[in-house]
Amino acid sequence: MMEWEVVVGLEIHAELNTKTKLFCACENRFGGVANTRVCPVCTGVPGSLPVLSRAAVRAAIRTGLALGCEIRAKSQWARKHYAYPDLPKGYQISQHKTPLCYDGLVEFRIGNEKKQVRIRQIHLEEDAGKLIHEKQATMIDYNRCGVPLIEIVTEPDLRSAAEARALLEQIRLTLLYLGVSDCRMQEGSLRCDVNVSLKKPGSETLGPRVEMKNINTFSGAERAILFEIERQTRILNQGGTVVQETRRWDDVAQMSTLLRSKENAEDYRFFPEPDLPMLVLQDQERKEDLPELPLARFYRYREAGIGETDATLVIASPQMAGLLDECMALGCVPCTAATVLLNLGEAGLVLRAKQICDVLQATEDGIISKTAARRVLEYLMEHDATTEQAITALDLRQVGEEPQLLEWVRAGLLAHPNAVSDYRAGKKNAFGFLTGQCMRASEGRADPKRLQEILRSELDGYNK
Amino acid sequence: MLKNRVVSATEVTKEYLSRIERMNSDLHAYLTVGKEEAIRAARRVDALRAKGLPLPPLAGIPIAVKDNIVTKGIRTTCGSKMLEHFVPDYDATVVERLKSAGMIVLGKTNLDEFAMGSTGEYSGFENPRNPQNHEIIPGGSSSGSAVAVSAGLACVALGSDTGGSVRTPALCCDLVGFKPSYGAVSRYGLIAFASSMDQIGILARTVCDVDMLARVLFGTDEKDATTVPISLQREPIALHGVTIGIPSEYWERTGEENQTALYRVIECMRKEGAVIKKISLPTTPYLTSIYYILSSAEAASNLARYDGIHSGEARDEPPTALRSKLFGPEVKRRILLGNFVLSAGYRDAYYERALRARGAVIREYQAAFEEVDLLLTPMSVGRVPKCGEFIVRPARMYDEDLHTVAANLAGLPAISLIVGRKQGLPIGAQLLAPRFSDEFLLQAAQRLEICLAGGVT
Repeated sequence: MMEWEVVVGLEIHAELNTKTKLFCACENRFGGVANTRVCPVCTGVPGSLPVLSRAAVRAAIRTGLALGCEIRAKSQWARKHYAYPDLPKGYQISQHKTPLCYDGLVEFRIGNEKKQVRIRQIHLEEDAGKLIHEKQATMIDYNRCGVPLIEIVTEPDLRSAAEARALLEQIRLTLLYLGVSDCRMQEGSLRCDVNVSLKKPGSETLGPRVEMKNINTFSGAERAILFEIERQTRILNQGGTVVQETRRWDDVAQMSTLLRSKENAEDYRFFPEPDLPMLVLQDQERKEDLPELPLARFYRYREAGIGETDATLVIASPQMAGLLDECMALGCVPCTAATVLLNLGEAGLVLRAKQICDVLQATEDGIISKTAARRVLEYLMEHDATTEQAITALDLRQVGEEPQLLEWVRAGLLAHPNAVSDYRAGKKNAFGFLTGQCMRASEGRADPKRLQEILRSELDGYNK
Repeated sequence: MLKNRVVSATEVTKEYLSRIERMNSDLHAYLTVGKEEAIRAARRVDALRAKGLPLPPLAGIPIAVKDNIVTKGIRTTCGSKMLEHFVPDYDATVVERLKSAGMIVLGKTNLDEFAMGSTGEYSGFENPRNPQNHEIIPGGSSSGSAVAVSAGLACVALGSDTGGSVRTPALCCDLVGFKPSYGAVSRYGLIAFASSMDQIGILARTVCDVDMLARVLFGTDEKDATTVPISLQREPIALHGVTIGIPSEYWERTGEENQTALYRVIECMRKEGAVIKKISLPTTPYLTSIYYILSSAEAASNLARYDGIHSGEARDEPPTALRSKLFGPEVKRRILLGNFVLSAGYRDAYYERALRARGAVIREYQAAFEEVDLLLTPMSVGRVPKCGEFIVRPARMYDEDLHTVAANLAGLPAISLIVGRKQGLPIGAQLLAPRFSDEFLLQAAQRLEICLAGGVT
């Protein structure tokens, strides 16, 4: 059995979150009553003309720069023709010979390794409408028609399904951090087609590639690629040849079926869009200050001592990462702050950095216990207060005075005589149990260390 | 007359409407008459005047609008069964400007279907008839507009010109036809034929009328990204010292009567102090080929949206059947030709090549205008054709466009004037100016018009 080398390339479409559509002033927003966010331009009414939104161009430029691309000073719009009910003009305004961004490079993490993928191009184009299939007829909703899309095309530099998934996640995160798209695959604001081929190991020649469409989740992308690798491997090992074609992935049935063969490939009859002048960018428009990107952020967090898993999880939410940065700026210990934020989850994002830092400081200073800290944070999530106020309100100030601690210990011991006997009998975990019970008796307010000292001395020095 | 209260706007409008009622069933100039709207608009003008309020520049002047220009609430067919019942819910920018100027839109005029045709014989409905002479063509594609003005069914008319569609019918119907520079007038609301060549133009009896209306129409539009600011200042320009070039390749490709008429024009120009110069434009033999390849490609693209799904009444037939049924023969020819030249395997040989050739044409005319200030050319190859002459061989009809298409390929302003008659048939001449020199062109044309009328300057 020959081992074939896997070659994968991706075509990613992301809907930009600009206020208006790409070529008209209609609102760009998901959902809404069908055909209420439309106008003559985006529905292709005879006589209408497109007018370019510069905001979309700026978003595309930022994306290109973040993905290491060159930004073209002069780029042209093109008409891409095909017939489908969701395309009112019978053509899509896109870019063909002169995409806005080209020659990019993206670094991404897979496991402990760093990999690089070249970006062939990024271009802008308008989205089509949505078909809604009902029993008696198929309906068309044009609310989405004309929404700006960026299409990111990679070179076939990926070598496995896992790499493809990792890259997809990296690009998705990057777009989120740039703030150009909300990247919700389930809402269709992020879509991906994959191209898979196999080649002889060590050979430069690429095998015929198969394109797969209808991929709706990242795990679906991985599954589709794995399926395709297997399908092509089987064909090649039986001495056959892979046919270049477009296939449709079915994530439920876990298989792909033929959509279009090369002979039936669309002839898009591209030509330059006469209704729009060439897009000419000044030098200063082709440069931009970018926010810190996810990969750089990851390495910074690692350097600050945050664990790999925690760092990855925090970065998955730009808001959480932002909050973490604020905490770090206020002097919190990074890995502690990260742990707290992850434990609180999305609900914790209402907190201010100062509140979190104050709680962590109070814990470190011994004013409250670690268990109490959690309760304080939860209180702060509900009430607008300072940490001080919260601690007071909940009466969680850690108690380290001996008389009070003694009281709790004796209460705990009295309540659990069996545990005491167990301890005497030599069962060490009884101590842990008793500690827990005494802490409960104190409603979390006891200084755990002091409590344990007193408990041990009571138990050991206990004279019946 | 209107200003001096000799007549009221309502009276004028009603007079035109009654003429239309009497004559349109014979001439087929109008496809839709907006009677109620016109009378209402006229009454509004009269009300303003009665109150002594200032009137907009062209208040009360009745105008006909070619039916490929969108009018809110008034059916806009594009001369095609495909849009027979299309009632737009918005006005074209030019229509908004007409209304702001107080003009009265009488109705929508007949045209060759989707503006494709130069004889006026390709309407999807009844073809219009030349009121000066029923045997000759009215010219196209702005056939109805030309017939309306020529027969006194409108004072002036809007047309559209992609390859000569304002200038040719103006010639056939004894009128002045003006095509502005590409980008001078907004195309928002003009149902597209060839987007890089279409311009809304004016048909009128005199250059003066054209000039007045041009001032209303010109101007950038934020809804049309291809508009360019072009100023029309008012100082008169003298022809003294102006160099007028006559392209020899155009001269060689026109009949004797046309040449004779052009001599008359040359005489007039010389009397005004202009210098006449012969120049060479080697791209001339290729102009119609370049035009038909590129305009058909754009047309096929612009008409891709007419599939019976996105507009019109709900129909059960598939798009292919509907398009076969509802498009006329000339439109079908151009769509087939256009898709062919763009298709994989043929695109380089035809479309790409024609695109590069168009660049050469643009540069050639730019270079010519460094030698001369204006170009003077014939308006047609031979005499104005009789009806039915080209129906059997449409390609011959394409050849007739030789003198007009350069202005569309290079975006130049152009105007056609009547300069003579032979055996009762009108003979025209065309003036071309550099792109954006519309003011200069209109002034020169006005001087020429006066001179030809025997007037003293």
